[in-house]
Amino acid sequence: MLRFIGRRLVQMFILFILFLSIVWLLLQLMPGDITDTLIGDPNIPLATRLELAERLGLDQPLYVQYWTYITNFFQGEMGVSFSRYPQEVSAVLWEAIPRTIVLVLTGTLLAYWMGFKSGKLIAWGRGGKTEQTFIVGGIFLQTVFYPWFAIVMLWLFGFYFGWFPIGRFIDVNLWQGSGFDATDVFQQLILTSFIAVMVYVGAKVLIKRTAGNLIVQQRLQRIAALLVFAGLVAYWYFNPAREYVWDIVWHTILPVVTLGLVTFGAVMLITRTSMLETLGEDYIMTARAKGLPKRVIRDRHAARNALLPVVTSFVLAMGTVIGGAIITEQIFSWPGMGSLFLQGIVVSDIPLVAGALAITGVLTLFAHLVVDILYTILDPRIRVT
Amino acid sequence: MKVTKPYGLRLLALLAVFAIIVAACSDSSTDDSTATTGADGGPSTTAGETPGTTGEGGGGEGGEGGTLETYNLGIFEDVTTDNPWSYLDSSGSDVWVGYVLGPTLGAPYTIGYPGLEVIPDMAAGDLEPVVQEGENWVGTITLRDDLTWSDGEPITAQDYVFTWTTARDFGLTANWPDYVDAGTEEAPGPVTAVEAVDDHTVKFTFNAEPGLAVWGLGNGPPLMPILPEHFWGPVVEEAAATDTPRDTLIAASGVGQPSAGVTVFGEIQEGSFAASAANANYFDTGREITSGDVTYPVGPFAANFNYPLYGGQEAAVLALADGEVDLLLNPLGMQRGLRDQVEGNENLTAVVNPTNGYRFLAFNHSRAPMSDPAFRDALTAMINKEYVTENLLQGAAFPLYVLLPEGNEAWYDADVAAELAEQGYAGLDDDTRRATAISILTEAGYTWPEGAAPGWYDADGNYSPEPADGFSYTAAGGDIIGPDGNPIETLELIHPNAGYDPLRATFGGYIAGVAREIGIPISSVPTDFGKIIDIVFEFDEETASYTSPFDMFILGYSLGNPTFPTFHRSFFATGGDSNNTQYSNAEFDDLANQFDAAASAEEAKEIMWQLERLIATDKPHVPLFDTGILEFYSNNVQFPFTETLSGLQNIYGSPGTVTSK
Repeated sequence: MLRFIGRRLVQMFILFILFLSIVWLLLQLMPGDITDTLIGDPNIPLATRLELAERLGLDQPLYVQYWTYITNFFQGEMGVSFSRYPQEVSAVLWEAIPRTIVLVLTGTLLAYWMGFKSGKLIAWGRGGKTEQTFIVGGIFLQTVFYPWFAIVMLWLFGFYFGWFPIGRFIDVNLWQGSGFDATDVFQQLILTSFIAVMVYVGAKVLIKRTAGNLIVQQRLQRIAALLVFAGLVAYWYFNPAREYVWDIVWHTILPVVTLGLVTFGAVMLITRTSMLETLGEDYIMTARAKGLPKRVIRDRHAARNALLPVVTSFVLAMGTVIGGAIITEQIFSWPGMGSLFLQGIVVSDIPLVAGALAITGVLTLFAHLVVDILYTILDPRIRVT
Repeated sequence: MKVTKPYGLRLLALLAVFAIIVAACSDSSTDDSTATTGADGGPSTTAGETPGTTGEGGGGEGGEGGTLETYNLGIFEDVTTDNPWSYLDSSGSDVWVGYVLGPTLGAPYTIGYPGLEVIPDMAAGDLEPVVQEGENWVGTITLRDDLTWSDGEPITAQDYVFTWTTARDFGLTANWPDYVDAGTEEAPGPVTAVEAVDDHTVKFTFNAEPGLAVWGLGNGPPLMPILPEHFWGPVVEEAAATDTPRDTLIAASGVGQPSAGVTVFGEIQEGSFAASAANANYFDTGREITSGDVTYPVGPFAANFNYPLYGGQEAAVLALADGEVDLLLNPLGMQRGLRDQVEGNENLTAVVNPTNGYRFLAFNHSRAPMSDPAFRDALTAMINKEYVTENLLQGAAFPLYVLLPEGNEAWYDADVAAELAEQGYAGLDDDTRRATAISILTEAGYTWPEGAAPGWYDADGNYSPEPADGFSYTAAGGDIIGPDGNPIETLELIHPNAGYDPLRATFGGYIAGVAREIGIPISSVPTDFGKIIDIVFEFDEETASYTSPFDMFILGYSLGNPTFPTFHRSFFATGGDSNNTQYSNAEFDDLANQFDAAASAEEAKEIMWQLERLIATDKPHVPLFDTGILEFYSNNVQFPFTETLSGLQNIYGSPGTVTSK
């Protein structure tokens, strides 16, 4: 396995260089550059435009610009953002990446969890009105014009009912003059949530190894989950940034649910199809013949095998975070990578766009590696060579 | 074996789908009564009936309106710097930064709105003329003696000298060269020295008599914002000691900088908002300004100024309707598709103002036949702007015949503009246009292939170059032949595609169509906007000139400082910064020089209209149309005026005068 991973990492590195080069060249093919923003204003002299091009190295031959970019990139420098000069691209992305990952990861996890559960249930109870309702709903959600749907969600739950904020990441009136930095608070929130998840996973493993009875295991796991969650809540309750964290969470709910809903339809339909195929297998008939409880057949024998295509689609979806986030971030005014990417494209901020795409490339490559590894874990018939 | 049906889930799913359908089918407005009209339907500049909420930090009394706790101005892109050196330089020269930092800056003189006059701000009185001292000319600005920074420190002449010297020595670009006017090492001047004579007097030395562009109405030293030496001095000193002084200076943080404007910059939460507070020590608070025909008191009348960031206009309009924001700032204005939504809400107002810009058709003057004034004139005669704007564009634009916008009250001359509109063939019917164009081309020596001339033919095939009874118009049967006897090859007209700008795309297609009617073979080429910019601004550094690899194009320009419109020189004078069409006219150049050297506003105005006449006659550009800028604001707030060139966004949302209703 280690040899396989090592070989894949070398392949990924070569592929990444190719990817980065192609991305950079494609971006150069875009007409115009950042100096175009100074055109057409008679109060900005031509000399200013020429000076800006020279300062940003845009007057250099393409091969010089390319070589400078690639060498700098592999020395850990993504360059300086043209539109946020002189901020480093890495610093700009570092602020935006966690926001996008949280938005997309939470939305996608929610969608996959709901989609898998409901897909499994409707496939098991095939033929009922529930299945028909879910299929219609699923197809609607999968095929709906997403920008329209997102605006409707914003209007309905943000404006009409007033249950959630009308987009944005934080409430300006609350944060203004608070002394807290939204990025710092958000990153702390991610860190503490990550620690809580890790503690829960550790507790779960420990419970599984020590408690013999399945029912006791399940109960202890629930208690552990509750304790970890309570610990997380308690930590933030006594934290001076309590109301600010809640504000971020409150602003996160609507975009996450919206993103989750449109993904949900596809996941549910994939799961249902996969589950129906699995339910027709001989070993399911054998399990029924053995008199195993319905729940065991459904959850342990059928659902686990139906999980494979769902996992593949989940991990690959994670690799395309930017694409999935652009519309959501624009409509919900969410300051993540998608918004940055779009702004970068509009003003030809090539280092910023290339940096964002490089991150996507890395995530996609690693997602593929994770899929390959997960396959061997989920399906014992698959072995790496 | 009966499977348990999850009724709850089914019900939930049904409810969700129902809710979405209801939402989609509903009218988004909460009230369908008629909206308060703005500038284009009657100004909404009357005072409110009762004062609104009271704030703590607002220093003024709010005129007839009340004070505001917080004035919320929605923006659509990040504020990327809090550094005023950077904001006025090419690195941070960005309208979104301007909305936040603009109101924190003060200068000896400023532009009065809505009348667009240059009026004293920090200066003690009107600008005095320069006087000759030996070979040099000397100008003086006397600052008021009651000026203080927001932190209570006095604003002195030394602060001005510090700002001027720093901008010059650090080689700051974009707006700074105009403010500094120190030229280059090779060509110094016109300002050769600036010194503080005492705490309130700044002395300028010129190597030649400065015109109004430098000393008066233009973006010259009198309009340069002053930055506090006691805050920026150590930063500048530290930056000067580095290998990259300029980059170090513009990268420095401006948090805590004292302000000379109506607001004091507070903070930026990147991706979320920017915030400022009222300047409690603002020296102009309580002053009454008269500009144009409006008199209003200066505040600030709000304690806080927040700038929440929205990703899209739909969400921002919802936030406006919900009372989250009071005004939406966007240099391009708001989408027309949202106007109905706003006008259907009695708590909101939509207002349209003319922009300080124009959309035009440009020719490459180094190529035939575009270099021939007769050709340009004939093509202009064929363009029925009224038809395009009213019929094809359904009133989304209005036709233009002069470059200077009507909204520039200080410079616009309606009589001359009407005369020039006539010269631009305004209001003619199509037959008259065709006859005029055919006549111009024929007189200039253009011909058509045998039997293919455009014109009026009767049933027997008899030809008339003018409309006549029993004759009907027949378009050219072949391409036009130039005065030299060679047929005109197909000419390309590049213009933005419909996805980027449907208005310019429509005009492009229309012009190609009407040109072909008289045998001018123009091909309309919808092109990516960035690609057009690449083509028309292709610059050869070796020859230091534009290469102009095009026949014709349609674009739009903004017109810069409205108090002293120098754009004519930039666009049309030989070697002008934006003269990318190879147009060169000695008479025009001479007039442009006279304009720059004009000693009074009246003289400059007279010359400017001579420039406009020349443009109307020679047609280096054909002005086509403008759209106006559409803005939305909440009726919770009121402004002393809403009719102003380029809209409320052009005055940063008027933070110094806004009051509650």
